[in-house]
This record gives sequence, structure tokens and C-alpha cells, in this order.
Amino acid sequence: METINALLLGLDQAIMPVNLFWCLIGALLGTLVGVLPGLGPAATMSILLPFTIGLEPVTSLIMLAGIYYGAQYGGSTTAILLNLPGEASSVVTAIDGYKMARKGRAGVALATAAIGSFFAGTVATLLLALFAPALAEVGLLFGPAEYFSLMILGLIASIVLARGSLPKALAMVFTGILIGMIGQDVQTAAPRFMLGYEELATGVNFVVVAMGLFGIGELIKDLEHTENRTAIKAPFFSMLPSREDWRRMAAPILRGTGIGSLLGLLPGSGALLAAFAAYAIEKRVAKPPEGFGNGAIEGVAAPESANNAGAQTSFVPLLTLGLPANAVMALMFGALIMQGIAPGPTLISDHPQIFWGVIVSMWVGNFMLLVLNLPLIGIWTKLLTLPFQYLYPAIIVFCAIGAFSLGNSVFDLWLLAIFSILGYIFTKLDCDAAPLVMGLILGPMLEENFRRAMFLSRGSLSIFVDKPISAGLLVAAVVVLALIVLPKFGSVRKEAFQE
Amino acid sequence: MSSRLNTELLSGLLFILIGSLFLIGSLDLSFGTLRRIGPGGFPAMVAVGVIIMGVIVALKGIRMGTAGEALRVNPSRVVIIIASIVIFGLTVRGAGLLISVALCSLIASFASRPFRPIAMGLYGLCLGAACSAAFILGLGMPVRIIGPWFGY
Repeated sequence: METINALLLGLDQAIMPVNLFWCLIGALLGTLVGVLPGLGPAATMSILLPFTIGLEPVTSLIMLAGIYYGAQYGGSTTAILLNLPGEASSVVTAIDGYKMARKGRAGVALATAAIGSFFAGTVATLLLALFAPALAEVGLLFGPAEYFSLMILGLIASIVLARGSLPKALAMVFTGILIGMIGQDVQTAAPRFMLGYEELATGVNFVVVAMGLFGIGELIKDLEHTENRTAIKAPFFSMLPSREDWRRMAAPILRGTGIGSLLGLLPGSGALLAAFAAYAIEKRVAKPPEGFGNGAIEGVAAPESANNAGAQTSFVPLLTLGLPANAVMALMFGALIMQGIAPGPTLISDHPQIFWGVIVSMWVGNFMLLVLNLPLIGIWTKLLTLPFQYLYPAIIVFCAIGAFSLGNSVFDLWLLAIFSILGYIFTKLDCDAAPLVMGLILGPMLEENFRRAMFLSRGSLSIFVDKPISAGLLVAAVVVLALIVLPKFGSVRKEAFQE
Repeated sequence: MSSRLNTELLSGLLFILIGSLFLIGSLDLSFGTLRRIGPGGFPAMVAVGVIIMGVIVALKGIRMGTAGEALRVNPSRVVIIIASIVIFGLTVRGAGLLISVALCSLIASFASRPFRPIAMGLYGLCLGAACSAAFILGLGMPVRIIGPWFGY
């Protein structure tokens, strides 16, 4: 009953015209940028984040969430039509989806992806509504020591899916934490690493860092590869799946939803792992398995359901514990802080309209995408024929205006330039930027909780293992770390990044 | 570039550099005691962590030797893109958003081939007009469309 009331409160928020409008804009912008190859959801969100700051907190979050799942829809569209996964989580969709498109069944593949995503989104929303409040109550028991350990777990988990070796990813996390230390120390007001620049007193804005590392960094990399990008137009006629298609997609969608919802909950995994796992399982249960890789509808239905379910449930740790599960959630975390709202277990009780509004809006947004996107596919594919030559100057202009408008300060543009260079260097050195952004956003809270915990324990480090919850979280972090180092899992991880 | 400088070695060295800079920076700050950790304590710890990881990565790079992936860079595009951002920053207040966006877009377009200056210049002006309409007239961004350099 309580859940139903809460969902109604959320629905109330979600269908307010202003929220509905920005939800649609977010979802469409997300799809647009998701369709354009080269910019993933993290890049998209960092580019568009500055423009959401003027909105009400709930509206801005609704829009950002819309960008996130919109990008996922867009990503699978290009994966199917052009064999160009717009983002990592639709890599597996491309395998069978593109084959379907080559056989003239692009419409069916797109419809399957949309239907699977919508179904998975609905189930994941319900799961969120049922379990999030309980998890938040656990979170209320957390003190500084528990928070410190939770963030350690989150940071370690974020490395699981990072490209490159473990020491590199750890070094990137640490570098991010250090960049987060720039500015005035919260407790003593001592200036740190500011090199005399007063503009740095409030710290380096994370949007500028994310924009430079993800947005412009990726763009420069794309510019080097534009020559070999050829748009292959796949013909597609019928959108409607046949009865046989419906029969074949039902079970994969259900399995994908289940796997995705579970994996999405784990910090660090999110949509990517969910899609890979779902595809692998379908391949195993399929009889005969030969169809896989040759345009099996199951190979589209399962990963698309799983990545959407995973995307949705990865909001749970953020909204209940204040722990961003991946780089995209870390950007959400930053957006909440910029809006003056502390993400954490008190979010549900202090701002129920935000929590439930965002959750229900994700469902509403998914529905809008289902209805709008299929007819719009023609437009999206036309956009792909738009020359990149005209596109990237516009993206750079948006980044520049966005960075400038954060604080109406030209200084942020110099920072953007610096982090763009750094982003390019990191890509060249094969260092994944996502762990750095995680470290940057979690760093200040990590330090604060560490210092508070040490104060409470009168300087004894044993506080982190004496408290049972904290100890449990640290053990989990060690287990995750061991899993990465162990050769068996390591090879699976390598395989996943072959693409 | 020497073939001994593979990506692992270079990233290791980069991390050692970053860590050292932050470690040096934190030496000026008070470390405090374990009970009351000062502003320098935590960053110094993390900086040491970066250095250690950097050493591990660099050692791996040395061990790989010439077998490692050599670094290939073509900095001209980076320079152009960075220049377009810097130009935007230098002109946005003085010249106004319209011109500033047009310049930024024009310079950015140097990074791709074929380069058509007139077409891209016109495109930049259109972009500038669209951005002025959307951000200044629409969202109330506090910048002039045509700035004080033009006598307004």
C-alpha cells in the first residue's frame, strides 16, 4: 500500500507538464547523441549537464535520466542498423542485430529491442520501488567508517569494468581523488594545490573534467578515425514482429530482465556486464545454438532487455546509499550535489518527490521512447548521413558554452582545455577515464569520512574493521579486487573488451 | 620516437609525475595527527598511492621493452581543437556569442579534411545565431550577442 502511494506521488511529479517536457527533451537528446557514434552516455551527459542546472532539482534529474536511457536506445539503433554500437552496452546487440538488418529484418530487430527495453524498464522500476526504501533504511545505520568502506568498495568495483590493467585503473582512481582535493579544505579552509588561482577555491568543477576527458577527448579520437567510418544503409520494411518472433523473444526478454536487474544492483557493473551476461546465457540455453551470430532474434531481445534493466536498477545504490555505481551515476551524483541535494539514505525521506518522481519518470520516459522512437527511426538514420565535419564543430561549441555557463567564468574554459589535452593523452596511453571521474566525485567524501572516522576512533585505524558493516564492505572490496587479479576472471574481462 | 617508450612505460612515468607533484604540494600543508588529520594528510597518502602504481606500471613497460605497443600521436588535431576552445574563451566577452561561436566552429573545422573555409565560416555564423537565440534569448545566458568590441 505504502509503495503504491509512493508511486502515485511519483506519477504526480512525472506527469507534471514541465517534467514531462524535459523528460521528453532529455530522452530525445539522449537518443540523438546515442545515435551519433563516438559519444557515449557519459560524454553526452557531461556535455548537456551545464544546461540542466537552471532547472528544478527533480526536473533536472528527470532530464538527465532521460539522456541516459535515451542514449541507450540510440546506441542500440546504430548497433542494429550500422553495426556501430553507440555505446559499450550495445556491443553484443550489434552481433545479431546487424545480421538481422542485413537480412532485411532491421525493423523487427529495432522493434524487439524497444519492446524488450520497455518491458525490462517496467519490471526494474517496480523492483526499485519495492526494494529501494528498505536499502535506504540500512543506509541510515551508516556512520563515517561505514561510508568510507562503502566508497572504497564502490571505487574498487568501478575498476572491474575499466579498460587497461589493474594498476593503471587504480592510478586513475587515485589521480581523480587528488584532483578532487584541489581547492579549499572543507575542515580547515586551508588552500590546497591552488597554485595561487583564487578561482580554484571551490575546487575543479567535475563537469569540466568529465567534458574534457569524455566529451572532447573522445571527439578528438573520433576525428582520427573518421575516414574509415562508412554508413551502410540497411533496408528495413516491416516493423511488426511476426507471431513466431513474439514466441521466440518472450523467454529471452524475461531472462534478460532478471539478469539485468540483479547485475545492475552491483556497484561497478551496470548495463554493460548485464548485456554480456544475458547474451552468454541465451547462447547457452539456445537450441540449436548455431543461429547465434547469424541474426537470432534472441540475441537482440536478451541483451537489450538486460542492459535497460541494469541501467534502471543501477540507480538503486545511488539513490539509497549515495554510492554511484559507474561513471554515469557519478555524474548524476555530481548533478545532485550541484543542485544542493546530498545523495544518500535520507534522500527518500527528505525529498520523496525527487526520488519517486525520477523513478516513475524513467518508466514514463521509456514509454515515450517506445511510442516515439519507432516512427522516428527514419529521422535518426538520416542524421547519420549528416557529415561529421559539420557535427563536431557544433559539439565543441556546445562544450565551450556549457563550460563557460557553469559559473560564467572564462577560467573554466582554460580548465576545459587542460583536461581535454589530458583526456587525449589518457586515451593514447590506453588509460580509461571512468575510474578517474569516479575518484574525482567520491574523493572529497572519502576524505571527509576518513577524517571523521579517525576522529571518532581517536586515531585508531581499527575502526574500519571493528564495525561489522564496515568490515563486511571492506571484505567485499577485497573479494572484488581478488576477482580482478585472478587469471580466470581476468581472461573473461579481457574477452569482454575485445571489441 | 624511441621504440623503448611504449604506452605502459609512458603512463607509468606520467603517474609518477602526477603523484610527485601532488606529494610536493601537500608537503606545505599540515599533516596533523592520526586523530586530527590535517589538510595535507589524506592527499599525501593518495599521492604516494599514485606513485606506487606508477612505478608498477612503468616497470611492466620496461619489462615489455620493444614488445610493448609504441605510442603514435598526431598532435595537430589536438592543437586545433584546443585552440578553438581557447579562442572562444578569449572572445566570448569582448566579441559576443555570435562571433565567438563562429570563430570557435571555424577553427575547429580545420581539424578535418576537406577544409572549406567559406562554407564552414557561414556554417559557424549560423551556429552562432542559433546559439544566441537558444542560450541568450531563450535561457537568459548573461553574455552579449554582439560584444563591446564592436562599439555596443
